[in-house]
Amino acid sequence: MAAPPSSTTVISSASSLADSLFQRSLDDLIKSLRSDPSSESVIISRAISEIHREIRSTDPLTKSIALQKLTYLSSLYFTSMSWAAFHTIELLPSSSLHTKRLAYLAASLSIHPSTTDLITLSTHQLHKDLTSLSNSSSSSPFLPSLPLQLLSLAASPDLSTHLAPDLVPLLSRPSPLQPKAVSAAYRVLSLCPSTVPVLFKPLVDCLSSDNPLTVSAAVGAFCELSAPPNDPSPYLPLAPEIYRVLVNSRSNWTLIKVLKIFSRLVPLEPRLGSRVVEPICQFLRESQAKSLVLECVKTVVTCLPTHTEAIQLAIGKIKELLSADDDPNLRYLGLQTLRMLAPQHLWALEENREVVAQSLIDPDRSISCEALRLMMAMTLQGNSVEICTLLVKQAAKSDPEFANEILDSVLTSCAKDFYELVVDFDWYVSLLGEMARIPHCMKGDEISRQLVDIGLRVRDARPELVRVARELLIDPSLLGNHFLYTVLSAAAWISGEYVEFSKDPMELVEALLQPRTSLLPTSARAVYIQSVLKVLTFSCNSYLEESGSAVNNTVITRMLSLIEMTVGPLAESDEAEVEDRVRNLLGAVRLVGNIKDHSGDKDKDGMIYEVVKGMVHLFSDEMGPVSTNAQKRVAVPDDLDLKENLADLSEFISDDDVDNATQFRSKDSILLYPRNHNASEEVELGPTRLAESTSLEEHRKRHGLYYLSSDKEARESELTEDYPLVNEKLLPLNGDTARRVKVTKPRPTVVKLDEGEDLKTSSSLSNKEEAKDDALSGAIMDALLGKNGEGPASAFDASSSRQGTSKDKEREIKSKKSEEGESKNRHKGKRRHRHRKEPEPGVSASQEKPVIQDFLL
Amino acid sequence: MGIRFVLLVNKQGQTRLAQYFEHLSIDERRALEGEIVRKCLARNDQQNELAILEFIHLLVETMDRHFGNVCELDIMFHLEKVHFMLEEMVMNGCIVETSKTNILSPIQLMEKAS
Repeated sequence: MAAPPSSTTVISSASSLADSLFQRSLDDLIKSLRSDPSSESVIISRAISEIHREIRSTDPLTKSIALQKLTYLSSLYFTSMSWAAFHTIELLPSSSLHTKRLAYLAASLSIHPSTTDLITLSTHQLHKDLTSLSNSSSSSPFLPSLPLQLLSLAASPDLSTHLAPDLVPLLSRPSPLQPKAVSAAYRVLSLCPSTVPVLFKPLVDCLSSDNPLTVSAAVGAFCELSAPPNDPSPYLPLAPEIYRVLVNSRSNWTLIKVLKIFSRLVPLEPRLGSRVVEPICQFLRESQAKSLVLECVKTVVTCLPTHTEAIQLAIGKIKELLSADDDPNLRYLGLQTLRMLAPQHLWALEENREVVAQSLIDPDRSISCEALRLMMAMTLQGNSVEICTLLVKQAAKSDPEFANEILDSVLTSCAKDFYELVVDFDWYVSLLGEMARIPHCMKGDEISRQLVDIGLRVRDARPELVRVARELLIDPSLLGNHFLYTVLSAAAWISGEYVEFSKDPMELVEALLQPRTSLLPTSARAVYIQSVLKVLTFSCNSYLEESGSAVNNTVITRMLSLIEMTVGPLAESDEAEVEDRVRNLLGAVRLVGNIKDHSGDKDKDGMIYEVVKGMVHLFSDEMGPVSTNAQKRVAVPDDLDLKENLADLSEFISDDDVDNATQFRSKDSILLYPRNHNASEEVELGPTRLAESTSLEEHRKRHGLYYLSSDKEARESELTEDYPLVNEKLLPLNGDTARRVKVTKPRPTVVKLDEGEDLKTSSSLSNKEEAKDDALSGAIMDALLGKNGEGPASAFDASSSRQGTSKDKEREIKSKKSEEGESKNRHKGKRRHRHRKEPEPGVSASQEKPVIQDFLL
Repeated sequence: MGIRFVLLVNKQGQTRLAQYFEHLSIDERRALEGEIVRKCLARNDQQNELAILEFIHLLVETMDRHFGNVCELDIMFHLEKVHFMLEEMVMNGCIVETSKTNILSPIQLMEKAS
């Protein structure tokens, strides 16, 4: 393509002469870049413009130096060289080996089918270089490695189809080029499945090559071909060949790849496991190479968990890794492999708990994070108290980022499956309080969600919940931390809702109205004020009901005046949420206060008694969790016409009918029962309430069809009956767990709703596992089936006689196998293994799936 | 994918050699190289970390043999040679050659020719 200088015009040869005389070499360029690092960009842009001119030169030397400089700038200074693709291809046919090499290097660094399709221009040149050995004896024996290299990096499907036949002689002839040909063939194969009939057989044969590097490259290729997301099942018939490599190879790199392949095949054919476990155990016992041992450990842990001896050896090796004090990388790998044991061999994790706990404080973040994940993996009902307490203590000492990571894991795993891990809720609730107080805690949202959720679901935890909430509320320093606002508002809600467990309502009111609450955002402030109303109601009631209670005349008086004094100014607040609630509260205070002044102290006469009872009644409806799917399960009555105009109902729906519990509504999993009526209306219009409810009743009579058929009677008669039914199903504990659980007191009931409450999409998981049906595995399946007679099976025939052990048995099986080969079609259907995964849809070969030879197993 | 890329970076975090076995745009490469400097060794599930470490040792030893106590400047001034060595050792993300003599012989051949 590049014309020799002699054939060019006079003018251009003169200009290229000037270029080549004054051209700067790569060394010059590097030196100038080094001499003045500050003006790097100037030097580079000047060099680029020089290169633009020089690369058009007709002199191959000038051209190649320009390309060399461009390659350098491109690979170290991120300069684009896509514009020079054509010039690069022009230099590929150069007769000078050096220039040729430079051109190939530039091409492999810069040309890719996704950016340019110019590579097809070089098809013929690549073909020439690939076949140079057979065509002329004079050329360098290394020459074909250049196009092989380029092919493995920049092949397009088109190029692959054209050049695949050229690879076959390189693959079949033993030479130093063979491994490279294997690697290029793998690339071509995966790009273009139509080349499988040409390339697959030679590639399989390379597995039994005498050159260990060829075997290594072939194993590497099959390792990549069988890697996710590809389907490994087409490679199952190759198991005998690959097994032989496992037994015979001495190269650690090869063995690692072989183990990787087996770790994909064993799950498909469990009988393979008992076959490979022996060599693996031998490596574990004898090998000095840590990389190989690590791979063995990984293989055993992931796909041979039932082989006791192998597991024991692997755990021993993991312990060695964990105790590598001088090498954090080994410690990290030890933790990582330990975690793979988690679901099945928890005892191994328990054994190493101290090391893991120690790793939590490792300065290496990957190590400490891995240790954290391990800690969570070994958490069970029996040890959750111990582990979580330890972790939270650790969080208090850690840097902000890691502290939050710890809190996140603790919160997530404790709340999983309705707090399945938690036996002692008093402990967990106080742990939540502790977590909120950890400096830099940013998990306020989740903590507050869980506090409210536990309040709703676990009745027995409420007294402790109120105690924790009190501690959070009375601490003025927490009010300055904006991450805690949601926690504080949850605490305020809890202490209002479950005020009956509070020991000192006055103290609570003081805490809720302390001056620093002005720092709170509106939403939290509104909750605080609403809670004050609840506490006040409760206090008035207990003052009237029980003469010996903590609430006496002075307390009530003090409470009323404190509320009036601190809340009064807020009545003019700009925030509707706050203002609304403040007015409710002040209304209630005036109602109680006025009547009290008139009737003396302990006189339980008419009005006050009724007002207080009315207010108590307001808050007596207990809130419980509601399934997010509840609405869906209500069947729509046949005669209900949802399209009908509902305008005549509007008089009963006031604007502020938004339930005042909305703000406690947690983000997704729980909803609260809305109260039947708005609190404010009832407090201020106490007496009129009756009238309204009767009109509502009338309405119900008239428009019965608009109402969902609810058992209203039950709701009104016995409030506790209204609480959702407990639907508890504790997961069965496995032997390991049960042994360790020492329940000191019975686990309180956690209210759970139906399964639907936490709907998980399991479908996405199964979708993932389904390998995409790709043309490649189909083609390979076909290739293996078509060649079953003389293909891999025959290769194994020949090889099995080579193997030294238990020859007699093998010979016997071999003869059995050759019979089998003849009557293959008859036996096939019968001999398929039930437990094997069904092949992906669309592969018609499922009926005639290749069967792994029996004598392997 | 086996080995995805090989980078040689000096202590200041400047790239001294970059060889990619999967296609990345220039911007992606720049971002990646910046990231790598921060997380020196990628800890990745699919690879055997220790084998990679051994491979890095081999690369350094090979360069040592060729340049004699290799330093940054050697790589800067002979970038293409280091590329050639790497090409001999890794192809398509797979290790294809581990003998130092075999890795270096084509380069010596080329030096003799020029």
